[in-house]
Amino acid sequence: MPSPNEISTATDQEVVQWALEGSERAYRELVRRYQRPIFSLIFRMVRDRERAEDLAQETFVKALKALKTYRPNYKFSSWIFKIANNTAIDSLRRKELDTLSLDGAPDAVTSERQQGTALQVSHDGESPLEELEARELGFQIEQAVATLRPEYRTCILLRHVEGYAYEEIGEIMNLPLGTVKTYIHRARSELREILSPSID
Amino acid sequence: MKPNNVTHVTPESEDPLVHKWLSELPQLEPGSGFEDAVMAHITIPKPSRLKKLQSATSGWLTGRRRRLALAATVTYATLSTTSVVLLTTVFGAQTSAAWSALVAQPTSAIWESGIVFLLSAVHSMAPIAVIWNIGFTEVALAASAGVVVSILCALGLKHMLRYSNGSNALDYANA
Repeated sequence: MPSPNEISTATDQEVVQWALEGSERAYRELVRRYQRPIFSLIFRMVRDRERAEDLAQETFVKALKALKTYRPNYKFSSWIFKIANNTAIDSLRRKELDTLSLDGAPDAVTSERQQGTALQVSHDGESPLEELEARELGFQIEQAVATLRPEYRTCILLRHVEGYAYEEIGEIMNLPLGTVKTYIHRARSELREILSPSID
Repeated sequence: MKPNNVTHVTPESEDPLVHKWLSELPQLEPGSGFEDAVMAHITIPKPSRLKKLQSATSGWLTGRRRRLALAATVTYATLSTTSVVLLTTVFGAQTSAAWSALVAQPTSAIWESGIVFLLSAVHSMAPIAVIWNIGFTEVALAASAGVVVSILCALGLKHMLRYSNGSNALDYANA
């Protein structure tokens, strides 16, 4: 079985192989590597922290249980993002969540629950004024992203936050290349329209 | 999904303004205990001893070295089974009464020898194959090749013994 040092420097494919051979450490490493990007994407889809945690957990459980079906000549990150996207879309279809509130989930009826589901944005190493401005900027950007249609949102986040190529986004979202390009183009136009007056 | 050889045009160059805005977004972290919560739902597969051994030895031999190892294994199996042919046919028939009875008929002797060759090939190749992490298909192919070569050797040997100097082990056994 691999050592912790070996695991932390190994490729995703190697870690998957060790996991399939029965290494618990390898399973944990896969969760550690992808919990933040997967949770971030799902949170920005459903806008509810508790729900996002449940869906991220569901994503990992599905992925790790189906690890045998993963083919190592594909990117592991694309594979797990595809599962995350499908899980979030299914959830959105089931619940028809209102995705606009940054003050917490729309179904959070008490202030305590609203606090629990609200987005936490932190900026370390800045002065209080800079931190306030950064928070305000972050808030505006999050709000603008939240107004986009879910499919536009996923496309633009995968492109500009995760840095995926158009082809990969198409594979993750099961969309033709042309549709991905259209969605990203429209999402950018909408974001510019919303954010340009307030930020510039 | 396609293999991961797609081309990349950077998002920055496409739309620097939108990219700047979105790169301001922080990566969010799930609550503490997330990893354990996921692991609670996962059953870790228990690897077989063979898998463990293969895993431990993986990477020992690759590419050309792997082919050389396979060739060496075939040669080893062929030589070892041929030596069995020699021992059983020449010395075995002369020294063992039981074996003499078994090989009383020349045709039957060849079949009996064939079984010995097969067992010999398999027993000599299997541990080597496991240690060198060679796939079972290759083992089967190599073992089959070893057995075929050994049987041909046996037939050749029988022919040679029958027609050389008028006295040979099979005639001795038949007597």
